[in-house]
Amino acid sequence: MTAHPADTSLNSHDEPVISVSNLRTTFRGRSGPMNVVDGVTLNIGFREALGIVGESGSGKSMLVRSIMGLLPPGARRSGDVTYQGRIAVDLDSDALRKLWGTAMAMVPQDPMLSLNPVRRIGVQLMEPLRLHLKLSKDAARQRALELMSMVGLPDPARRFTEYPHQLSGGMRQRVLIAAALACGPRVLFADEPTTALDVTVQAQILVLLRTLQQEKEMAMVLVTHDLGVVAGCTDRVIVMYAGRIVEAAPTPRLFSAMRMPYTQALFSSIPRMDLPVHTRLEIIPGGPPDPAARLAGCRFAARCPYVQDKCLEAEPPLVTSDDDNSHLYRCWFPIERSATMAAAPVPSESRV
Amino acid sequence: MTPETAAAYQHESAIEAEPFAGPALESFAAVRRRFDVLLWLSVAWLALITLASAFASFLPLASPNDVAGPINVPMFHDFGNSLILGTDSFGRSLLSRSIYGARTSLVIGVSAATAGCIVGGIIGLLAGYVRGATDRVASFIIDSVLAFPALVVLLALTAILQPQLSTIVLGLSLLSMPAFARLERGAALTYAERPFVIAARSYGTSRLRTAFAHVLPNSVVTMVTYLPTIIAALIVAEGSLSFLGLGVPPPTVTWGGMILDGEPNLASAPNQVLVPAAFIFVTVFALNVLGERVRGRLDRRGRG
Repeated sequence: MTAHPADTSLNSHDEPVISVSNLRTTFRGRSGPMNVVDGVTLNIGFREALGIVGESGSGKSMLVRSIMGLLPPGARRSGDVTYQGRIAVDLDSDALRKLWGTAMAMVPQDPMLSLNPVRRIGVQLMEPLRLHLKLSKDAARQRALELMSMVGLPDPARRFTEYPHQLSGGMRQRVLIAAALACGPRVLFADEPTTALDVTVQAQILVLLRTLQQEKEMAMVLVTHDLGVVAGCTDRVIVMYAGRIVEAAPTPRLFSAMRMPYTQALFSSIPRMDLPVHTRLEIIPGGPPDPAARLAGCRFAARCPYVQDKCLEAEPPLVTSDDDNSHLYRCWFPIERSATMAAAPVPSESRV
Repeated sequence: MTPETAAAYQHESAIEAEPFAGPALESFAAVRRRFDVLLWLSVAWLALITLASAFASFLPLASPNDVAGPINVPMFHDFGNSLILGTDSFGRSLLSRSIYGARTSLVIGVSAATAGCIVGGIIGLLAGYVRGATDRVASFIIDSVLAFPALVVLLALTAILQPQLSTIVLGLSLLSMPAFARLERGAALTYAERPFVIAARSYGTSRLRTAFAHVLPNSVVTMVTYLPTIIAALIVAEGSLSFLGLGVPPPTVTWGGMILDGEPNLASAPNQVLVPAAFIFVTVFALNVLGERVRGRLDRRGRG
C-alpha cells in the first residue's frame, strides 16, 4: 500500500464555493468538552452535489449547522469557513444572517415541524423575499406563487392562503424547499430532507432537489444516513464517523472501491433484495464512541472487524488513495480493491 | 422543472389533494354535543353585566348617588323594581349602585389585565427567547415585583399618586404583569428551539422578528386564555382596596366601597353587604369558569 498524506483540502472537481478548514464544534458536557465536529476540512464546489453520510451521532447534521453558523445555544466552533473567499466563521450575527437565505440555505429535517403552525403558507414564503430582496408585498406574493409552482406544489393560489396543517408532509417539504430557494442561494444544505417522509414521496423530493440543483446551478449538500439516497443524487460522498471524515470519494468510486471498513459496514447494513427472505440484517455492533472520550487510536477500532494493535495505538491520518487522488480515507489497513467487490461475508449462523 | 418530473408530481398531488377531514372536525362536533350549562350561564352573566353597566344610563334605574327611597329598605320589599334589592343607609338603590359598580370593576379589571398581559408578554418573550443577560434582568424584575405584598404596593402607589381610577389600574397592571411574563417566558423557551423557528432563522429572519412573528403568535392563545382568570383576581383585589377605603374614591361607585358602606349595618340590613358581595362572587366565579373552559379547549399545552 502506497498511501501518502492528503493535502489540506479534499479536492472537488471545480472551484470551491465553500471551504471548510479544521472546523471543530464543541459542546460543554458533564464529562468534559464534547467535540461533535472534530477537525473537518473540506471544499464544496460550485454546482457540486455532495453527500454526507454517517449513522446517528456521527456529527453530520452538526457539521452542516456549523458550516452555516446556525448552532444551538451552548455550542462553540473554531476553525475556518470561507464562503466565496470571504471568511464566514467570524462574522457577527447580523452579517451572518444576511448570508442565510441568499448565500446558503437549509432544507430542514422534519417538514411536519418546520413550518410555523399559526401562519399561512404564503406569508411564510414571502418572509425571506421581503427580508432579503426587499420586494413589495405584491411582488413577493407573485414570486412566492412562482416558487410554489417551481417546486411542483399543486394549486399554488389555494395553498398560498392555507395553513401548514392543511398540507401533507411531502407538500410541506416542497414549501420548505421553496422557502430555502426563495433568494437564490449558492449552496443548499438539505439535512435529511426525506427522513420524515414515506418512500414514494421521498423519491419525488430527491428528484426535485437534484433537478433544482442542476437547474439553478447551486451546490447541494445532502445529509443522510441512507446510502441509497446518496447513490442517485450526489457527485461525491463524505462518510463521517464520530465527528471526523473517515472516507471521501466520488460517488461511483465510493460504491465500487470503498477502502474504509466503516463504509463497508454501512453498506452491509443495507437490506438486500437478492438474499433469501428472513436473512438477518447485518448490523454494526456497538455504538459510536462517547464524544467526550479521548481515544488514542482509530475511533472505529472498537467496532471494526479488522482491528489490529496499531489501530488502538494511533489514529490513522486521512490519506489519498494511491490510484485516485480524489479518494481519501482514514485507515491503517484499508480494504483492498479486490476485496471490496465481494462485500463482507455473511456468517452462516446469521441466517434465521 | 422538466415535463417528466412535473408528470411525476401529478401522482403525488392526486394523493395529497385529499381534503383534510377527520379527527379535528369530529372533536369539534363532540365538544358541541356536550352542552356546558355552567359555561353558558357564566357567559350569559358576564354578557348581562357588561351590557347593563355599559348602558346603565339608559336603563330605568335610579341614579346611583341620589336618594331614591327610604333608607335601609330590605330586599324584595314593595318599593318598585328599581329598589328590588333594597337601599343603603342613605336611601340609594342597591341595584343601581351594583350595576354602576360593575362598570368600575370591569373597566379596572379588563384594562389592568390587558396592560399587564401586553407588558408582561413582551418582557417574558424577550426573556425566554433572547435568554442570557436579558433573561436575568427580566427575571430579576419579575421576582422583585412578586416579592412585594400586593396590598403594600397598592397602598404605596395610592399614597404617592392620587387614589383615582388610573392609579388603581396602574397598580393592578403592575401586579398582574409577573404572571403573564412567566407564562410567556415559559412558552417562548419551548418555542425557541422548535424546528420552525430554526428554519425561519436559517433563511435569515432576524432574532427580534423571529421572536415577534414566529414565537409570539404561537403563545398568544396561552396568554389570552389566562386573561379571564387574571381579570377575576384583579376584581377581587380592587374590591379589597375599595373596602379599605383606598380604592377609587366616591362619587364613583365600587363594589368594595358598597361593602364598606354597608358593613356597620350588617346585623340589621345584611343586604347592604350581601348584594355587592354576591355581585363580586358571581362575576369572579363566572370569569374563572370561562377562563378554565377556554383554556381547556384552546390551549394544547393544557391538554398534553
